[in-house]
Amino acid sequence: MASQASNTGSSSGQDLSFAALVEAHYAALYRFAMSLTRSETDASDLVQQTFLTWAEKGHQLADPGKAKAWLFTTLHRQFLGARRRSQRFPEVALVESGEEFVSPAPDLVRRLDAAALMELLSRLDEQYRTAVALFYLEDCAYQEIAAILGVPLGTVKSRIARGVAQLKAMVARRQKEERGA
Amino acid sequence: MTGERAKQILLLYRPGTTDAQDPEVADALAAVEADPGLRAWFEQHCEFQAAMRSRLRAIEVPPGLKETLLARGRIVPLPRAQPWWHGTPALAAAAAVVATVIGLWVFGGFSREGARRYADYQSRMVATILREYRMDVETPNLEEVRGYMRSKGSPDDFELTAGLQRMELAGGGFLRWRNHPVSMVCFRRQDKQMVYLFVMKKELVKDPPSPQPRISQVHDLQTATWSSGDKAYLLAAPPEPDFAQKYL
Repeated sequence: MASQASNTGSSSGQDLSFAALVEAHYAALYRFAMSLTRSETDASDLVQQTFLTWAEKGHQLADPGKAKAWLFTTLHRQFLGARRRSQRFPEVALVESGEEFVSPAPDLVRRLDAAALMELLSRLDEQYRTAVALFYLEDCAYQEIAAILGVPLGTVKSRIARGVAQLKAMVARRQKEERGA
Repeated sequence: MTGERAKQILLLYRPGTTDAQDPEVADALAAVEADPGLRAWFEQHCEFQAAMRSRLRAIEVPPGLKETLLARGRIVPLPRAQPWWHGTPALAAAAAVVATVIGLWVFGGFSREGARRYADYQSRMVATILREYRMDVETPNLEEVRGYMRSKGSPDDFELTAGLQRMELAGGGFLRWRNHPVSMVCFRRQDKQMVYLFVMKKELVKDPPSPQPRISQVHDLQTATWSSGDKAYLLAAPPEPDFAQKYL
């Protein structure tokens, strides 16, 4: 019926056509959105809104190499906008408490299904959750996560470390409960 | 580097990635080599990280999401063109004078040309269904509708979008726009509101729509316009958030 909207013309040779971007990133964006919303419908809406925004404004992106970061940033902003949250997240120190260096048995993690892990992820402090989701769901470099979230590199590292420590503690608690049951 | 500090840093480490290139992480990895106790913790940590990554990446994406995205990618909202004279009052005044002079000079010619614009057709069709319309044939059978349009010399070999094919057909009507035949096909939504598809030959307008559907609001209705083959399509329905997804 119609040709697809495109945003070609990349000087770096990257395929920035709408279809290529959808193909490359839609699944990862959806999983990221799921980690934020825990709702299939909300996650799908966020992904759709993100690509619609790209269709309207993506041509303004000067550096084609930043398309992926642009998509994740846009999705995250839309999530924050929808939640009407605008508070600034404070800097946090790297993990200090020895208790948080627990290492739950990996076989428990393997036994948990994706939904259960999402549930654990959702219980993380919000400021850590987004960074941790990008950390696990995508092979984003720390710098890339910092760019997506618009925070300094040190802040991102702190959030990831804190978040992973919290996550491990939660899994370990669950493990203890299972053993006790 | 102490074991505690190394653990802090290694919380950031994902096996199989470029994380080891980070100087802090590289130092912590070196500390692991020298400390058997730390190594045991690290091995378990790596397994945890790998398990977390693989499990979270196993989250299933809803079937059809990609297709929906690609379909919506074909939709380009109509640009909200702002007339150039909106910039300053002086420019606006000058534009008014120029427009008046030109209007007096070529009034007839321009108005006739304007009448062949797609926007005029779009506006007239929407106004028709908002004001009053009638279905000449009321039937759930598309072939009956096509047959009726054929008998009137109106386009009958129109294509239905995937969204419209899923809808309940209510019937159709034969209309005229500047004495040219227009096929109107009507679909019934679940809430009993109607969705209208207008089809005419695209050669009848000076500026037929592009093959890419464009969404715009006309009067109180949401519309999509596009061309396919030798026809121009206009779809109109009461506004809905997922208009494009439903009907295109």
